Amino acid sequence: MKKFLFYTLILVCGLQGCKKMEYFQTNPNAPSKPIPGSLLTDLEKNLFVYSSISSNGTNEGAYPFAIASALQYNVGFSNHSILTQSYQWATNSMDEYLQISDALAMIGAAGANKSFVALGKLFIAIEYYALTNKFGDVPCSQAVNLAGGFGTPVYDAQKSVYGAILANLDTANNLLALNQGAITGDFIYSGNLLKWRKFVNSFRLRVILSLSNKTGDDLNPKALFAAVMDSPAQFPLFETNADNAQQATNTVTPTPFYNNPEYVYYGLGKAFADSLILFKDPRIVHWANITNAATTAGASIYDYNAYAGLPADESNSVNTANAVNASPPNKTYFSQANYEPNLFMGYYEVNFLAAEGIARGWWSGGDAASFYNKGVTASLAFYNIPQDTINRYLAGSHVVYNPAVGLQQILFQRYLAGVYNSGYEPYFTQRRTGVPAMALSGPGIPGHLEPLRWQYPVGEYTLNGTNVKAAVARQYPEGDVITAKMWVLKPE
Amino acid sequence: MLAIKLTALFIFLFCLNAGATGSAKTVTISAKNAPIQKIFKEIFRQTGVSVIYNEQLFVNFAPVTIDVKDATIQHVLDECLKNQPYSYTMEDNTISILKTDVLLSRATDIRGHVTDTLNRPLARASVTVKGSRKGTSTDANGDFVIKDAGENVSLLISYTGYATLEVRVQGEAVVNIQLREEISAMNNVVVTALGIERQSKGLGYSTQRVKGEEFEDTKDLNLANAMIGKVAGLEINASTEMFISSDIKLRGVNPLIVVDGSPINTTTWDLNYNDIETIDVLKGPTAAALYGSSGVNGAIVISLKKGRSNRTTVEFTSTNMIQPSLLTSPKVQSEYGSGSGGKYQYQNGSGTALEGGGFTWGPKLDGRPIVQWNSPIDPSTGSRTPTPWLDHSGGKGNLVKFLQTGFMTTNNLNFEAGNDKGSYRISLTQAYQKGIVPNTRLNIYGFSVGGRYQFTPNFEVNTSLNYSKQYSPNYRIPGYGANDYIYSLSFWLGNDIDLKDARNYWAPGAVGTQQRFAQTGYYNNPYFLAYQNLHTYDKDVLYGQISGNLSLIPHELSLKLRVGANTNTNSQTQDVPVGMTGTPLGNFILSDTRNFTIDNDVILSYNKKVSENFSIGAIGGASYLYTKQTVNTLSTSGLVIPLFYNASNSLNPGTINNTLSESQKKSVYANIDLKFFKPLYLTLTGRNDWVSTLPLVNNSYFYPSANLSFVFSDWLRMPAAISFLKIRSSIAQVNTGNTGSTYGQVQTYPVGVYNNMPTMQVSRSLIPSNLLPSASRTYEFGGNIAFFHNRLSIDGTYFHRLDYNNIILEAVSETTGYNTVTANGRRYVTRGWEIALNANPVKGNDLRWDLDVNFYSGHKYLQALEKGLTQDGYIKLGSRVDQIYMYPWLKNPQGELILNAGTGLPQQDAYMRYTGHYDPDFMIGMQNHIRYKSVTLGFSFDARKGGMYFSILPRMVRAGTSPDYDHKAREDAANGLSNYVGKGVVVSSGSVQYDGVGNITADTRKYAANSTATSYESWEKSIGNMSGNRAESFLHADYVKLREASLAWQIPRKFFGRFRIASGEVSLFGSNLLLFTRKSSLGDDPSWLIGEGTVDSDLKSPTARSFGCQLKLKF
Repeated sequence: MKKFLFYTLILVCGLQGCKKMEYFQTNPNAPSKPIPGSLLTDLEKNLFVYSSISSNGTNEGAYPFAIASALQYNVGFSNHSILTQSYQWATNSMDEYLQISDALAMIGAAGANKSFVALGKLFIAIEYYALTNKFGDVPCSQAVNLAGGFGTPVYDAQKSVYGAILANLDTANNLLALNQGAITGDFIYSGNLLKWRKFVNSFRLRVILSLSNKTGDDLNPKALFAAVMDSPAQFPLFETNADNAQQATNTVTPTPFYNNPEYVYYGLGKAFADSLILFKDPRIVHWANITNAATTAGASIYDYNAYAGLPADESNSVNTANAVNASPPNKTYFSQANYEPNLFMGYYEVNFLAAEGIARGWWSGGDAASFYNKGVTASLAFYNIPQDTINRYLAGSHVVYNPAVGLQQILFQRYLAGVYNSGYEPYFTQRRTGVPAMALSGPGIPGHLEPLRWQYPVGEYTLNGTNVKAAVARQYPEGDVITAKMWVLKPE
Repeated sequence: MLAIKLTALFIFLFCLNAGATGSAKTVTISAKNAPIQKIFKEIFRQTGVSVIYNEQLFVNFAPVTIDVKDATIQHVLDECLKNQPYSYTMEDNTISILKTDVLLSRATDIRGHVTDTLNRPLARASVTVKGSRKGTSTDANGDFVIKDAGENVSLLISYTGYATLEVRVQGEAVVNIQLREEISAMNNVVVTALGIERQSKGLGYSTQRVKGEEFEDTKDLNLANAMIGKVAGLEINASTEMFISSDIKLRGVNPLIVVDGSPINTTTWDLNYNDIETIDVLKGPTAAALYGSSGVNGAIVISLKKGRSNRTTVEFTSTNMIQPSLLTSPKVQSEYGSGSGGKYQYQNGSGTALEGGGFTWGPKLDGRPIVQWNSPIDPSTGSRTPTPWLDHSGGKGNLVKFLQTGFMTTNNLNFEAGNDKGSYRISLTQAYQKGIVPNTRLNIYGFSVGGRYQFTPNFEVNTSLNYSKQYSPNYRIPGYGANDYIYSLSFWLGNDIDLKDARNYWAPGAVGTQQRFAQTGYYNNPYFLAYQNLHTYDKDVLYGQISGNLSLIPHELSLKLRVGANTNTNSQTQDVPVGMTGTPLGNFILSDTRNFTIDNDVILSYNKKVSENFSIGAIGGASYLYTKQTVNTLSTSGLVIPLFYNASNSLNPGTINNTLSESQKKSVYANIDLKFFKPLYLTLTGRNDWVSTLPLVNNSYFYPSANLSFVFSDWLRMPAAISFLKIRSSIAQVNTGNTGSTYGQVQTYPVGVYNNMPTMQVSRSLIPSNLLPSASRTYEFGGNIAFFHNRLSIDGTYFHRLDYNNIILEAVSETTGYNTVTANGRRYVTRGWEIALNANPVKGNDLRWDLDVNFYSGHKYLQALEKGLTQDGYIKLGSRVDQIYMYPWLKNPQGELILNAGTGLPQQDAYMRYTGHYDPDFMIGMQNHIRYKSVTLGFSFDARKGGMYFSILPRMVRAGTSPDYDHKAREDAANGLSNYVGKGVVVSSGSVQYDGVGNITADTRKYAANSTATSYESWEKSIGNMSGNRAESFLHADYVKLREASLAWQIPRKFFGRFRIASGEVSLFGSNLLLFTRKSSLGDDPSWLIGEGTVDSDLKSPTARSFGCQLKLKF
């Protein structure tokens, strides 16, 4: 019996000692250390993942139809896109902070590689720009620092968020200029640091122009603009469409329209379609199909009269009834995964930004018309339209640059060029400039009010309530409503 | 004397087993010249103590005269037997009277006859001589003989389902023994944690036993379905699908499942009810305290059959059933066909334009000529000739037409044998199911062997090994999407489609690459899915345990070593044919899951009866648990060669994933049972775990429990009506080192692949390095009372469970860069009641009715939150955690819909609102067994009151297939009219303002009745549009279900003639027979729920009625 006990003990101890507890403290299924190149791939990917325009979950069509509806590029019918189109949205998400967290991890893991640090700063700027423009004041100085004990970050004034954005972009530009460290995991520019630097400064120009209502402020966008225009060597910008911050599309990374079943419920917006027809804009063939009626009549796709739109502020039932007489978005968007690249920011925009600054009198070293022409050319070239067609278009009576209404023309062409690309940026610009004016008076827009922002996420009220309430109280006397005007939009 | 010795003795036994003690009970008797038998009867009447005696002994006994008040039984007996050659012995509740000269007898053979209370012989009852290894079992006539039994011995007679009886006999005797069926749990032996058997009356916590025979009433292949309604507090959301494990909840949480002492990682499909002896449900953490953290939610302890000593039997059971009809299935209309706006014309099957966008808002099915998918092509023009537009489903809907009669068969053959040293059992099972969905079926083959053997008087080995093979060449995986037939048939497709014609599913000239159907833009041909989109399932399960028990000091100290292992491998494949909607390039997906668990225990037990009034039982043990899971999945990206399903056939680079999860737990524990005097029992336990799933700084933790049981009826004399009364209470602390995933304590960077490049993110959940084990403390108070000689017994339990230090994903403001933090936090309180009632309302010789009712009600409340927070999401402090918040339609304070003035259509509220609760107010189950002679009728109901569930079916309104519509309005809509003025109001002036969470802060709205007309189609599409989290998708889950009914007939022996068949039983049964629900017009079955607490859009299979018969033969 003693023997039995002895062997039992041996057996039990043997079985129990088979693995040390430390062995189980490593997860074999996921890395425990960050890798900058792989974080970068994910950050880049998320530049082109468009979120819904509103997080209260109604059927408004997947992006980009929702944003395109908000901008009245297109109009949904048959009970689609009603919410976006009628400007009844409420909250939006703050997922950008998660990207900022990744960017900070990339900076942390970069070590001596200054290029990764620079890209981290760029992405931080990009995400804060989206955040502050969606909501107004947002947490910044205490944000993304949970390990540091900031579980409920305070909200910073929009102005200081802008300050942080500009500072991050300056740092990024300076670090990239050092050319210290190669970039991996980069599908946008394949590690070309100069192109990244151009992107940093082109984006910086977007940020500067977005402060056009704040010329009197000590952020001084006018001076910042002039500095960029004066020193192309220090602030290199996009120089061709090949510099675009864009993503090649294919069946694995298709355009967001590809196989999007919502496609059948949209037609062109009337004001938008009318302008394209009036301007004889060759891009219409790329963007839209001719109406069903025109197809039946055997019309050519190059016949501008074969296109028509639906009034964006008309009631849904009327539009539904008339849908058959409207131009749908080009079917190829639905059927061809690589119909056009996914564009985050293009060369066209840099030209329009430069033209706008010049037209506003912020810099006298150049000519708004030439930037305007380059902008229009860049947009048409993006759709592979031949140069002679572009020239013909530029010479059109409604397109040719007229200094008397130059700013309007620049902004309107920028609006046209923004169809189905650049995320929320066309909306931010339209909201800042009022160009073009949105149709609001019809029965399709209850209240006839144009939204200027989104409400803070409900999660902030439950998880960071004190701070979000303070931010609302100091910015918006009318409350956290979508028609309230944020600092950056208020003229001085 | 000799004459008496040689004469058969007839001992009449009043077998009542009330837990009364003869010595403590007193009687008041006044009799003059009464036969002594009358005195004995009186003792029994007053105290419930049976007096066992030989009728012959008292043939010439002089009548007695006695007058006593509150005298002890001893006193009465001493008085009556004074100066007579008789003696008596007293056991707990029986008194045996012997003639003193018989005690001197040397004869040693005992013969006997065992029957039930209806005098029907009990074959194969076990008879053993107490304190020796001698024993036998009864033959087919209920007779037994024990040779050389020894003199002056006690026999133990036991039979499954009957109270074990101890009878004192001597001499060459024929003992007639009647066994009583157990109807109350109070004297039952139950298997508690670690396989320790204990008398239930000494337990201070709630357990409930389901015996093998009880769940044999249900013949479902899935064991869980057989347990529905049978245990108070056990809630089973069973599944209508093959291989989909049922959700088992005990007091609202998932319990541990233990087979023969080994906690196993199993699905209820792995267990075969034929092999199960008993299932003991240990309801709370006190009951399962010795299982430690794994038992925090209670445990279901399954004991497998191992054969009986001295018994050789062969048993064959065959169960066969068909599913000829459906209890519920989604109801569809067959008045209108596919299309939109009252129009339809087939073009190319894309679903767009004139094909109506996949809706069933097309023209009336009135035979009008319409170009359809199967209209003949005119060779001269090349275009299709219109054919009549008709309902092809015969008014029943195409789903019902598509489904077929299901069939199930289960056959079990088992052998048992044993001698006085040991026994074993071998069981073979074969099961086959043909599903109600065409081309689905499954096969299960099971083999199990178990036994025990006494190698030396001090050493016994006990072992079992079980193997099960589960295989299906194709089964349904439910889902809401184009690759599910029930999705398209019940929801979207019009009944204009002639399913007969769809059976030929390949497009002409495109076999293997293109399907042929009315509509392939959004849906698939259901037969194409059933015969080409195949899901295979192949699982091998092997589990077993071996334990050795060494007695170090007989009856006092013993050492047990147990080794258990469980391994299973599950391989599943999916063939996605080329041309399938959504995945036009086809695919092949393979997934392999392997699980391995080993658990060892070494236990030292000590038992000592220190004195009459104090006994002690102590256990000290150590255990080791190791688990490992590997999951490997592989998927092609498109297929090169159609219809060839192999990983090598990938068009683009495929994807491969694998995960490995390993964990271990080491524990030591101790348990002390103390019994004081007669009625008081106290148990104390303590356990310390060391786990691998917490940071090493906090991975060791200790937790104790205590429970107390007090048997009043052993202490005080009860009124005659009360036969048993006990109260119990317990407190248990259990800590758990489970973070929710194996490596939940380790911070990692999740990786992915994007366009062939590796991607990485920071985890969206921060994991701090100082996580503590979560803790749970349960207080439980209960009692058990039995009346009228145990004919009515009620067991009630109230429990209060406090969960704190929960390891939670605490939501944090997204502005911190994280969505959640893994943290210790929140306190929850779960309070509830369980009542189990057993009754025997009718108990005649021929007719007997047994009734069991189980009731449960319990809710979980949020008691405390992290600092500074007053609500968790929408759940406020102090309120129930199962509240549902969803987006409803926008309504004014009067509850009228606020319609969009422009469209005349409803608008969704921008904020989530309280919609209801998930959990029921209460659940109730009821089982009835009514026996008349050899025929038994059984039926069981279960019901749920309150609570809500998510159903996808309300959305059918949008699809146009729902039968609930305004006929006139629909007719107008089909004629193209936009004349429907929706019921509701519009805002005529003013506005409303909300705070950030949707409370109205200012409201100046004025309303006017809606006057904007829309088409009825737009209205219904709008009302039924529930993408997103729609409140209207939640339905009341109340139901009453006649779950099963059976009629069993015990075949009389004479039917077997000269065949060597010991007994036989034939039964007929049906299940899912009747269902009453709040919204039966949908055709949904709320008694099957898929995943409570989540919005799950899966479309479950319809519930089928099953009818069958079973034949059971014992040889």
